[in-house]
Amino acid sequence: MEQGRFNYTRAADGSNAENVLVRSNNAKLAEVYLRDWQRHWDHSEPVAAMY
Amino acid sequence: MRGSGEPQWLRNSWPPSSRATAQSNPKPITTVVLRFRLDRPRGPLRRFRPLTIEPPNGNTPHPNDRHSHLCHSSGRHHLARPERRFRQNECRGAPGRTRLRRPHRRRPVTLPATGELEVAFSPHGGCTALIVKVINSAQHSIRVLAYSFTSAPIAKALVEAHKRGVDVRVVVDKSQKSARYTAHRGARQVQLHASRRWE
Repeated sequence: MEQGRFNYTRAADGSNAENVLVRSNNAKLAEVYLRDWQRHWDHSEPVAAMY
Repeated sequence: MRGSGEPQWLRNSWPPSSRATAQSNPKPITTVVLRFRLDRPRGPLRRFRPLTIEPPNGNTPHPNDRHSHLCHSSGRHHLARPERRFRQNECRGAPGRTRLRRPHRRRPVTLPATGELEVAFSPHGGCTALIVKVINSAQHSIRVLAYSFTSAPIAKALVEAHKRGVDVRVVVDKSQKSARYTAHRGARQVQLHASRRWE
């Protein structure tokens, strides 16, 4: 599970001061994060490919 | 005949004694009925809603509870009144818009700190490389929740994961839907959703 305030942009990697934290082998934490992700997935809308 | 001048209703009135007693003592007796409303506190009359101690079914909101529709928890806040019921995750907002239900009622989760940690810092600290490494190590599914998404190496890694059979789903912020981003060009095969922001 990867988290942190690192945006997936070039500026984040090239110039901004960000951080990335990877947590592995913690199933319960992953489950909690997955539940939160599912909540956002449920209220979001699919995006059609623009290209 | 004594008492003939008295009205008929007084002769037969309370108390139910013998006719002789009533005739010898014809003093009228006034009965005052004092009514106490047990559901209202003593004091000046005012608008009052009876207090319900234990709501039926345990689900009915308290009459004075005007915020139960914002609440997720169980117990008496569980169901809002019918006129206040909204669709899940929504509450009343500006006209023509639906706001997301406020998340502040959710409780923090406490978990044991097990497993391993890897950390990287930018700029030039290997953040992207670490993320790509994690994506490449995925075997079954990848779930991404990000505000913006324009990094080409990460998009490429996600597409490759998708090609090797990993279930990849991405949620980005709604403001990014119309933005020109390079990752979108490469990640068109990946399931992409745009999230409504908290307002």
